[in-house]
Amino acid sequence: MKPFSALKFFKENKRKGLMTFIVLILSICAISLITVMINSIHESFDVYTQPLTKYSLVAGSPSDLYLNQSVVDKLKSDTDIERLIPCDTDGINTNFSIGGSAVVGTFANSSNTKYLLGKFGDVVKEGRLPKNNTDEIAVHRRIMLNKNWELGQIVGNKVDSKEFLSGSYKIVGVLDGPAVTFVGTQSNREKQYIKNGLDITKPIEYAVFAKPGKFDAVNKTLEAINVNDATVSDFNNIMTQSNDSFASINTTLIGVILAVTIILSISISSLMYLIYLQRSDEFGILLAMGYRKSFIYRLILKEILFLNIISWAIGFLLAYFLIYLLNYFVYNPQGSVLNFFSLNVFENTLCIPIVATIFSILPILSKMRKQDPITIIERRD
Amino acid sequence: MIECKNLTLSYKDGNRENLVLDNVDLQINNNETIVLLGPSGSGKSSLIYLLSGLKKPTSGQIMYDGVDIEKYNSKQFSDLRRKKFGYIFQQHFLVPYLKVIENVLVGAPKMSNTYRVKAQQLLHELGIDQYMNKRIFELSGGERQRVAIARALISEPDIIFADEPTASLDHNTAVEILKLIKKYKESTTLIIATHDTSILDGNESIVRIEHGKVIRDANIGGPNI
Repeated sequence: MKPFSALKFFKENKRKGLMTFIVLILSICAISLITVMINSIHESFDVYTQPLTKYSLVAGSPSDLYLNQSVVDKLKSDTDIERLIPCDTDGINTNFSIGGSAVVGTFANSSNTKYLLGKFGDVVKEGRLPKNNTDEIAVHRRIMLNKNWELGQIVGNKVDSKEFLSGSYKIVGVLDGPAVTFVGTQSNREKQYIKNGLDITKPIEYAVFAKPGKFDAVNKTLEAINVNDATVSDFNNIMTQSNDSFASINTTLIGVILAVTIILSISISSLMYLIYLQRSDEFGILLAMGYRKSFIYRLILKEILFLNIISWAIGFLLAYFLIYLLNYFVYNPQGSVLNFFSLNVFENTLCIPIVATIFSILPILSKMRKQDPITIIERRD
Repeated sequence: MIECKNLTLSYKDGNRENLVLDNVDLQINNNETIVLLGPSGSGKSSLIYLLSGLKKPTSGQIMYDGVDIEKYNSKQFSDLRRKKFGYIFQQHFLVPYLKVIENVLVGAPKMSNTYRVKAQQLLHELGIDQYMNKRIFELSGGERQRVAIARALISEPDIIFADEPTASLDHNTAVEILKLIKKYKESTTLIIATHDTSILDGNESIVRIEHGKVIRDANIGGPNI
């Protein structure tokens, strides 16, 4: 039985450590939740851009709806390209995670659609793929959940003005797989274009699939195309556009963590200082009895560190439980998921107990260095 | 044996030099019981602090078993104080959040089952073994001081330094506590500082201190000095 251990003081004086304990737990829980939420934005972005890790899109330039023939010829003669699929793209607005986003879908002829889904790794889970010359689409399971759509439902901005997807389409299939997307047939959309006076004999957009191992080389070729000749949407392109917004989100997150850590550490160190000031007699008498200062320093360090570590662990578990509830009641029904386990959740929350321990320990040790046992012994209370 | 030669302690108060102890020479043999007697402010507590290594003298020498304690390094000095010396103060200075037995173990030089058994034995001898697992606030003043005695004795020290160990107790409890401390005089040297002669039983060597000087060193005949 050791009279002094790291947990003894706060175990026997629960009320003294309670405030610190609660503040730490809540802060760690809050930082964990904020980090997980922000991670979910990144993850949602990854999910939406997943198709662009398999293909790239080349469309007409902002000044010309049609693709420049020289660009088409160049693509057709490129030996790194496995398949060039004439297509049309559109979007469905979704609400995965914080804020809204649009999921890109592809309209191509049915044989090309099968090839495209094969490349994405998606399969038809329910129903079937859209037929040529019909207003049909097949939609990924997660979009269906997010939009609360059902198989057979008619969707599009003709039936819902808030919807991005132009026209009206019947959902005939549910897709499943890594790429969150939707597919329709190009032939029927061409009718719309003809109605609007467009020349559908001219190429409008191509989905470009590279040969195995040539994805980066093809993207480089596409990125070299003059912006006046075509609009290229590839993975690098999308990432460059999004990096700025992610950088500001990350800076905000770091700012929040820093502010919380510093304010919290100062508050905790003040509380700790008061607690240890009340224990001056105890430490003074130990010194008088021949205990070394290093023993007392180690004891104080262990006590504060353990309190911080236990609070961190409980705060972390509480955050995990809250994320579980959020997933169960909010995110999963939307076809989304908050992923709790990531390195930055550990990193962002661990800095709190570490800095709080350092902030707490330094003033106490500085006070201890000046501790004179005689002053304590001679005090006549 | 503990011995001091030309021990002087002074401190500066502005431009004035205050002499607390003035060239004190003292030799205390093993298993001797010494009472440092004198009025408040005479320097008896300061002498205890110097002899027990809690304070450094301005000048002079303190020898423990023939070795100048200045020659001990920091670790050796801590070990000496923890293993060879026991301390009892006017206030018990027990750790409030520890149980009675844990407070006794605070005085043990290391943690082992042997010391736990020893602590139980001491609490039994001091008549407070029934409070072994109680907290300090549940004990009376006399009981708390008994725990402090057990804490001082657990390491089986060569010397026990007791600075006004009965000052905060009523007369009967004070007499009882002093008896308990003296119970161990066969195995240890006792150096007790007190200003209260009424608690002495006449079997102690008295060292009278006044104004920082040892003015009488003799065995007295009874408490009515």
